[in-house]
Amino acid sequence: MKNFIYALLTACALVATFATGGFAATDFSDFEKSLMNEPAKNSAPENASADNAGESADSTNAPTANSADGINEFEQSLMNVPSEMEPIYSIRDQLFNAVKKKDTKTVRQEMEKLNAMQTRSVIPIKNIERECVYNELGMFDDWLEMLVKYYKTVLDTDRYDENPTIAEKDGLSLFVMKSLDAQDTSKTFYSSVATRIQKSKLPDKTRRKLEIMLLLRDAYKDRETGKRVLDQSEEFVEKYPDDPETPWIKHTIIGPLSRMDILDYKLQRRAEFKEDVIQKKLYTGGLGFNFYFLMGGFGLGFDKLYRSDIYEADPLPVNVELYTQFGPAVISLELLNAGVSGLSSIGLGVGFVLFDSRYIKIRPYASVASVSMSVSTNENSLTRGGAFYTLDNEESSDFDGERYIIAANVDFKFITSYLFLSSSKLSSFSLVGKFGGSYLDIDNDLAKGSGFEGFVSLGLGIFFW
Amino acid sequence: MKKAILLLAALIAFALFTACSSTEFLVLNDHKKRTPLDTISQVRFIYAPATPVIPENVELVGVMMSNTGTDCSAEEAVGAIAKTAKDLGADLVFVKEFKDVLVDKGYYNGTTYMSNIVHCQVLTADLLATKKEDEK
Repeated sequence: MKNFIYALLTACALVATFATGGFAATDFSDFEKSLMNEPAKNSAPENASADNAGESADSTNAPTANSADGINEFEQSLMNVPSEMEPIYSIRDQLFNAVKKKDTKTVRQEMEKLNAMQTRSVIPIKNIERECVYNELGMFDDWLEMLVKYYKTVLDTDRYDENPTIAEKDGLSLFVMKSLDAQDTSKTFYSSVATRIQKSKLPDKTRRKLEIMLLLRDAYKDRETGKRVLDQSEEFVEKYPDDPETPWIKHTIIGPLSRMDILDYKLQRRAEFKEDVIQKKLYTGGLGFNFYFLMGGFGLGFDKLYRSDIYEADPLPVNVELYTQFGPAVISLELLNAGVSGLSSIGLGVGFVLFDSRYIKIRPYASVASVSMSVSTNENSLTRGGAFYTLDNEESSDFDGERYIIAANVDFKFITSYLFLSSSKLSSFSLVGKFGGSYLDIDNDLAKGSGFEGFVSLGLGIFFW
Repeated sequence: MKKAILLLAALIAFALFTACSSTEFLVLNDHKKRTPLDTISQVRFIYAPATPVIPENVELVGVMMSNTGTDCSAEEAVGAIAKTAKDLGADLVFVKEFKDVLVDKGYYNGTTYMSNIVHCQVLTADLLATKKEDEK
């Protein structure tokens, strides 16, 4: 865009260089007169040197053919200004004179007159011209007002007719061109005016807003400037929430700039949606793993379950449950100690989610399991009759008994977070409790007994859902 | 038995973890269902480095980054974004960043990996929908 503006203005300035010849010499400043003299020299055959002869010949396409009264065709075309533009050019001349005199009051008045003359078909003054004038004369308040208006309307393509008449090719245009040429394009535009703005006596609010508006043109040219605009805009809206431009700055500037990194934006959005996602996923499917470390219980009818003179019960230190949930229905596979020490079972169960919430889930189930007895020996060897036996230190029976379990799981989901980068999958870390009872029947080399038992288990679980 | 169960659990967890990690190319702002644009309607592009503001009467549909895996050239990237915008009911694309990146489009030739570094263009853009009169 900047290049385009420069190109446009360069073209305008070149044309304006010729255009100045069409007005009476007395109407021009010394600067303008000096410019008027230059093409005259080039076009005068007696002054043309051998070196610039080729240049003169090449310029035959340019409207330099002299007419009888000394005014070329191009200059005549400029003199035929449409009548509706005459007052505009007159005001522009007065504006230009005021700029030269640094008379800000008159500049403001003439600007207002030109603004009032703007229609769909006529553009009396371009934004770049306004900006140059305000910048040159340090009219920061007016500059800010102009910038806000510009950014608010820049995308309104219906403001003007297809080919509006634009006031140009006069002293003001030339002044603008000169100002733009003097700018250091190797730096951001803001850096060229930052010192003046910071040293000005502008109110804090105006100064901050002007800085944002001036930095905005480079906000998407490099990330650093964009971050600076974002930070300054956020500071502004926080400090001045009641400013009339605050909602616009939030929507137009902060919004897009805060979404520069798609991953950051995703994390930000999913954090905002997290509670909604959790609520929508209650009673839905998932996969869970529970590990129980604290287990206990009681049994009825297991008084002579095993040879306590030889063995002692050796319960599994950790119980495991793996379950999959389909909607409210649950299928589980578990390795679970019984309330009677040493007895454990591996079984398959079915259940359902009775209650599910942000933190608590209650899941009753019934399962059928095979039972095993785990023991360790009191002694490494024994003598029975005349025979000597050496025993393994630890021993477990096969899973050959039956166990019919009715129980319930209660999960306290103390952490629920998104599963890695997913925006819809969750993982919950829970304190898990399981309590219930079963009818158990075992009869093998190590244990024999049947009866009812009750159990309680506590542990930790993770659920992917 | 215990080891077998723990191994099974670990394998399932690993499968879940790896399945859920991927690069994001489109993040929707909300779950609102918008009517896709018809085939005649054009998506308007705004190039942010030139015009660094969005209109006031628009709402964000989502943020999109073009995928060099499927859309490498600038034309492909623009086309992909325009198509997604249309499908999502967004009539305005605010292109915030346009980057030239080097991408390895290599392939395995038998047992050898043949590297092929190419230039790809990556666009990052906001997809915007003009608010309807009753939404303003």
